[in-house]
Amino acid sequence: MALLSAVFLGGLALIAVPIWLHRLRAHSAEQKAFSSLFLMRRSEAPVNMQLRLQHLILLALRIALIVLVCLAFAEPLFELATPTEATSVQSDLIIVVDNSMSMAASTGARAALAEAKAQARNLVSGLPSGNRAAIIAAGQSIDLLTSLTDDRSQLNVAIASITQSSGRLSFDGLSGRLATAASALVDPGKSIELHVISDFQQSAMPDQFNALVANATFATTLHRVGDAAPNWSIQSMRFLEGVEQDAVPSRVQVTIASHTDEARQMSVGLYRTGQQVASQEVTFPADASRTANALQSVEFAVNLEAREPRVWRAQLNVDDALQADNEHFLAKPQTQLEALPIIARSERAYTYLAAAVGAALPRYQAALTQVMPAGAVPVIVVVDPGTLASDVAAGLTNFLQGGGAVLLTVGDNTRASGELALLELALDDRPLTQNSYGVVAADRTHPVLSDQAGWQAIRVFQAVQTVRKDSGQAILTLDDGTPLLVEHRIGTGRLMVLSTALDPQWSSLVVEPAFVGFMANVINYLAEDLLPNSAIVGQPFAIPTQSVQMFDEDGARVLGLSETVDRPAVRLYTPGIYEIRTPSRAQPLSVNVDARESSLEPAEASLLQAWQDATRDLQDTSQSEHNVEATNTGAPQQWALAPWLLLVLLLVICIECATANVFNRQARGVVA
Amino acid sequence: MTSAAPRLIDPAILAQLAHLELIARTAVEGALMGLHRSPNFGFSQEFAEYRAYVPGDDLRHIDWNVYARSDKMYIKRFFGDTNCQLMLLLDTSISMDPEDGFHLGSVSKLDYARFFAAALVYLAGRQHDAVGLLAFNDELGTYRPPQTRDRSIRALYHELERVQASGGTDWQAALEYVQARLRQKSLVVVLSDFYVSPQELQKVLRGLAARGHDLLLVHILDPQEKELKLTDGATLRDAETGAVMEVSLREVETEYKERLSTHLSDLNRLTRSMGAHYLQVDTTEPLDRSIANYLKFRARHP
Repeated sequence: MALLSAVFLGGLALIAVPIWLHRLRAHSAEQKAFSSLFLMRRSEAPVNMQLRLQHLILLALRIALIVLVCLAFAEPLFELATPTEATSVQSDLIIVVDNSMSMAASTGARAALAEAKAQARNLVSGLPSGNRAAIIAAGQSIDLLTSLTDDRSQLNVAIASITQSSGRLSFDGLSGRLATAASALVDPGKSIELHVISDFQQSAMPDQFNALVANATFATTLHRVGDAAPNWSIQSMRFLEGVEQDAVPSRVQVTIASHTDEARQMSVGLYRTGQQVASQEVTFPADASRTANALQSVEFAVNLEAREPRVWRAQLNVDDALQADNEHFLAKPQTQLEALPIIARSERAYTYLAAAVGAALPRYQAALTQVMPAGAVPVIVVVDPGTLASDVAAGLTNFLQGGGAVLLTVGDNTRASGELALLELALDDRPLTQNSYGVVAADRTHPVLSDQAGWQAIRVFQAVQTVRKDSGQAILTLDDGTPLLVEHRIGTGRLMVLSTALDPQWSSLVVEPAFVGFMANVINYLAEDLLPNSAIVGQPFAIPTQSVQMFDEDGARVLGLSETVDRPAVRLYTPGIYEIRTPSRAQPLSVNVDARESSLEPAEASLLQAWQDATRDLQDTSQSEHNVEATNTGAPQQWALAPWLLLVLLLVICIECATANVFNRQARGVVA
Repeated sequence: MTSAAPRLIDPAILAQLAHLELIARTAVEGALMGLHRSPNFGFSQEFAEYRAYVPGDDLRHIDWNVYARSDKMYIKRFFGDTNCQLMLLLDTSISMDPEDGFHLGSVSKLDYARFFAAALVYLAGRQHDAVGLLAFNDELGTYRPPQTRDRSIRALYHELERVQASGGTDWQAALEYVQARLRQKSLVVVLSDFYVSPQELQKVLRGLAARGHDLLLVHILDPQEKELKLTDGATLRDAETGAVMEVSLREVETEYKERLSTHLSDLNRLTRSMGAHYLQVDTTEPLDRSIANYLKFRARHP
């Protein structure tokens, strides 16, 4: 409490007035000499003691009255959450509810998630007055549902809004992620208690204990819900053979995992376009989860005909705790052989290219041509065109504008023409200053360089450079900064320019082992063949192209262009079959639940206890550091107490008047 | 009382007179003036009867005119001339004038008793009666045997002025002392507040009454003692014994008054039962009225 006006405190000396007056009364009540007590009888009740008590009560009330008046005029301020007093720090709660797929497991009357939400509501209802809480749903993502608030109805609404997700919650680094998510909520001077309500699957625990508490700043209390109910799941599903060759027939392998010791017989059905095409029985013996029998596979013979739908679904028919993992999707990748037109004057360059395509791109068949190809092709390679024929140039430009992709390499013809075809950029005729250059990655994240490190061994002896150096996005450069591989956007298409020739006299590229992989990456990238055909719910997967759209089985768009442009990765949160559409092609994508969510075995209680204890130790340290910091920099919140003191003063006056009146009437014998 | 105020003398005014004899004279003269028309007061210089002279009579009382006419010697007697011997017993215990005590009257009981006694002395002196004094408390104080000489009378005034309140009251000692020394039938006037059991008082007075002494108990009370005004829980200290007592409002307002009333009636009754007389006065009563009451009493009990 701060007393801002010490002058008024001098008024406390007025306390002497009632004390003096009461002493006068006390004197008057002292013994009186009387002629004789011969005719007097002693009072049975100790009247004086009552009177003294009454006087003391009145004296206390009158002193309180003066003190309150003085204090009210002294304008005292009450400091809230004084930084130096650790005991005054109140704790807010952050309640984290696990809504990962495993929380859908039903352990009886209700699912684990319903139990978790009930516990969250209990925490909210037990929240001390003035304390706040925030709700976070943690499953496939960390979703902050409310800010810190003491509005219980808002908190309960947030809890009710938590829905079951199909994603996976990993406790690896969760504390740090929660700390980041909650950092915006934390007020200085207030501590935070983290309450995590989850089934705490063993499969969600990190390998190392430190990962549980890394970057943890809040004291954590763990509330376990759910139980290790019997569960079986489809672990994986794949084509065994014939996919690449588009062979007919082929086989699909479905692997089923047992997460319980219970013996059970079940059936696995294979579906295509909603129709069951095959079914097989699977039997798990007792204690299967502890043995090699935990995984059992069944194979289905299928026909992979090119014109038929390329999506398959397996269904495990068993009554278990978790139904979401009894379904699995499989998308057949693109296997149709396509032509790769190569417009080249040099046979030598074509030979190198054709060899690389034949080695690393079985779906493509290199085709040497001098004219614009007639059919729809995903990629066209143009080798050292020099000055293109007008019809070819127009055709390529239209191709690019329409979303096509072109790989353009240079050479003597290009140098002789003095400009870069298709881009019409003038070449810089100054020669390179060095005999050879190394190659440096300008964008290591580019899909072309994703799994290829051999380009570092490439030496470049000759290269062309344009006058405008800032045109396009450089992927590889020479070690003097001269762009070597540059991607340009033309319309909705992409043009990738290699500034050296596919000639050993220009560079060592064609003779390096990295050439095949390098070319495969470039062609795949340009042809958008790096599109994934499978993904896990909630986990990011790469989008190698600049823009794609995704549609679900019903044709509804789940990801639009605006959500994928310039994004290296996206996530999907619902299992099923999707279709990825690029400007040049469409490809199915199977999205399945994370198999690790299927194991409902909880982590050991000792591990959870150690987790709690560790975060409490961290919290203590953090809190003490926070207190020190707050002492140095924090400004306490202040409340003016004068209005409240005046209210209390009014109350004391009323009590004093009533009490004095009663005592006075008693003294006069009115009430006796 | 208000209508009679002009001729009555407030004890407080009397108290302002320095000399006790003057106080007594003022009071007595006032009383006599008030009783002037009464045919029954019959004492002092008023003629009553003649009787034959017997040797030993004071020659000054022979009516020489009758002797001249009839050659017989007669003594001229007056109503007041009774050869009365007055013995004053003055209670000087501390209860008569408690230190730091409270009294509603303008004078203390001791002062009032002092004035009353002085008036009686003055009256007795006027009639040439012998008058004596015993001031007593728990010890025997001043004792003056009854005498008629002016010097003795003045000495009594002096003694009355000198007495101070102190100690308790030893009734038995005082009354036995007086009883042993009064050889002639006397009027014994006891001035006190009589905080004593009536039975005990009767016991000690019985000896005096048996010897034919005429007893008059003048009970002097302060109005405060009759109409006690105290707050609830007041603590009282006995002026004589020093005992302390906390009294309740109910005690003060009801029970004490009942006991006081009983005490007064008992005193009156027991006094009368042994042929004595009881006169109650309070300290706010004009002294001349009290004297007049006394004179009326004496007229009824010559």
